[in-house]
Amino acid sequence: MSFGRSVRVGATLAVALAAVVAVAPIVNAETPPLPAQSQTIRGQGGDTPGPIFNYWFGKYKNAYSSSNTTLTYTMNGAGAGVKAMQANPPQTDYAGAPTPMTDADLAGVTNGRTILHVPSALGAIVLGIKLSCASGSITLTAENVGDLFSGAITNWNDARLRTSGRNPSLASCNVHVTTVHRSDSSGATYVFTEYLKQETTSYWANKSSLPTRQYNSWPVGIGEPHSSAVALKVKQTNGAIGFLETSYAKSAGLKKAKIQNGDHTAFVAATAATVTAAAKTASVPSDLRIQPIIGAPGANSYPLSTYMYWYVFQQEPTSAAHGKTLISYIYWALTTGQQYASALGYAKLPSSVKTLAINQLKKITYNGTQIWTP
Amino acid sequence: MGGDRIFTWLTAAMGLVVIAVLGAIAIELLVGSGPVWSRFGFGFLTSTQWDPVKGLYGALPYVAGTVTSSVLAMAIAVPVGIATAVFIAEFAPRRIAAPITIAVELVAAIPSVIIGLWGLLVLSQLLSQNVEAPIVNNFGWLPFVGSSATGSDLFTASLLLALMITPTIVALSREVVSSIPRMQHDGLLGLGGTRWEAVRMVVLPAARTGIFGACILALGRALGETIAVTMVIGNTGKVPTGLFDPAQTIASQIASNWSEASIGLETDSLVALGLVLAVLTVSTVVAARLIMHGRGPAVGAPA
Repeated sequence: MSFGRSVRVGATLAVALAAVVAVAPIVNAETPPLPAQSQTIRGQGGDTPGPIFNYWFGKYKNAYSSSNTTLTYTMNGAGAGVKAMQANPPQTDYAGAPTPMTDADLAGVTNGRTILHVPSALGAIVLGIKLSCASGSITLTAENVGDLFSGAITNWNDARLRTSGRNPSLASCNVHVTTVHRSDSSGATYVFTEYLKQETTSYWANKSSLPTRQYNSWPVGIGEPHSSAVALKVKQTNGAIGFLETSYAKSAGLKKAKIQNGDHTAFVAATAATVTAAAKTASVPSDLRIQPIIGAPGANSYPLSTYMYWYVFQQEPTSAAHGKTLISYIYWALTTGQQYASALGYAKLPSSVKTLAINQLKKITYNGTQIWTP
Repeated sequence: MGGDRIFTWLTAAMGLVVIAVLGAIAIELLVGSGPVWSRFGFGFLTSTQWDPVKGLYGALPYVAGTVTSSVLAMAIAVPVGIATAVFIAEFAPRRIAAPITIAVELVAAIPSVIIGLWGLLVLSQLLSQNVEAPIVNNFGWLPFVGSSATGSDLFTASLLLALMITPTIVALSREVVSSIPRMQHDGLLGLGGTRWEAVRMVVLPAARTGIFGACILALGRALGETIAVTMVIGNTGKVPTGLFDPAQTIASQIASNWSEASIGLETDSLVALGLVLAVLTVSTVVAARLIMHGRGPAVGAPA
């Protein structure tokens, strides 16, 4: 073979190999499961994943409009979702929360079924602020956050908020701090109290009751039921600060604080990129109960990141058709649905977690028979 | 004869069902809260701690919040309600009386959650900026005025409750006032009395029992109102020392905590809170009946 000819053959083979490699990820390993006819999938749980779940319902029904599926998600608190999954007989088809079930939650399951954790998207708990005298973004160290919520800082012009030249516009803000927290059972409270306990050193560090979904001992501040009421209250009250998922803060037009990252090297805003960077540092156990990603290391990691969960039964209680529809919806959300996440204030699942999540669906059985066999 | 007996037994059975349900509720509350009473005794009613981790529970902040918000609501609703009822029944020309009556009934028909949303969206912000902030800034030295003026507090909750219970008082009082025989009333006018004197000396004393009953019903509703109150009261389990402090009522505390309460002392404590509220409500009704019984029904008033 001449040199020129071998170069051409080599180049053709290289291009062909590149084409195969490029196309391979686009071709899914499995065909999407289809929903059965006229099934109703009911869910209960926390407010934090609510916006993306509700958005997905509409898009899924458009994609499978002939199947007449009814999808619901009742936001009555993360704890209520857990209780519904624990009950015998189960009170719901799936539950939602921004945290995995605790060991105590799993021990309290009375219906004898195994509960599978399926991550759906990544999200962030942000500190939404309403402060008309502040211009530009507000940066907060972990100690600042702890002091604001413990009542140590009572006015926005406190010098501790302006250390190292931060937040110069706050010097002239003589406004009383009003903290707003959740009064009902909340996964966001769990994530935020874990942040307070882990990342701050004075008031919150030794509280044995933290983290918790229901905290009744806030030293200052007012409680509102549901994230939407928290967002509304912060929006209406000058000087208010509250913790809630990004999409609620976005809808209410609140300032979102930049929070100091885990290494104390930068102040990070909550975006899809910073949440994804934080998620890369999290260890993923085999049961997919990934704890909230608090204070993740890395200059670009948002310190209050967490996965949004579905809790589903491994042993489908209702029927094979019902299970098939549930699997179809979740599979759609894990694949096609991911593209909508960042616009809504969430982030896509990392591909490794997505694969593991899809594998969880293959474990679902009805009367001992695997429902989805791709 | 046979049909009569069947009818009698049927209606008696219905009445007994009501009593049986009441009894079942009472038994469930007592049995469910038993562990709390044996553990804390009456200390449960005086303790201000609510800490599920340490296993300490106390009802005082919630009792204080419930009683204070209801009493304040009544202080506003009773004069306004009775005055409105007297106006509709005695002074208003029919062209005005009818729309007012309809409007009052419409307010009564609005679901609590809608009123709660309105309270959060409109009322709390309105009060915070226009009433609470000026008072706290200028008159902070007065007793019962604290330092917070967030709008989610005892004051807003009391006003919202007053809004919700006024229609009850108006509707029932109007019924009572307009059903009083006109003989004494017209006689007094014939003797040269003014309409105000007729109201003061004939109408109100005659309607006293019925109006009192209306107020007790309104108080019962105020004590138990949950959804509207939980949106605007600030959900803070501390005994309120100022009018503009956030507080918490029994009903709101039960509603907020039930879905997360662990089976055991925590759920039992919530049931105990429910028992306290039930006892509070029942004792106000019983006390009211005793007072009414002592005064006796006035001439011509419904018993």
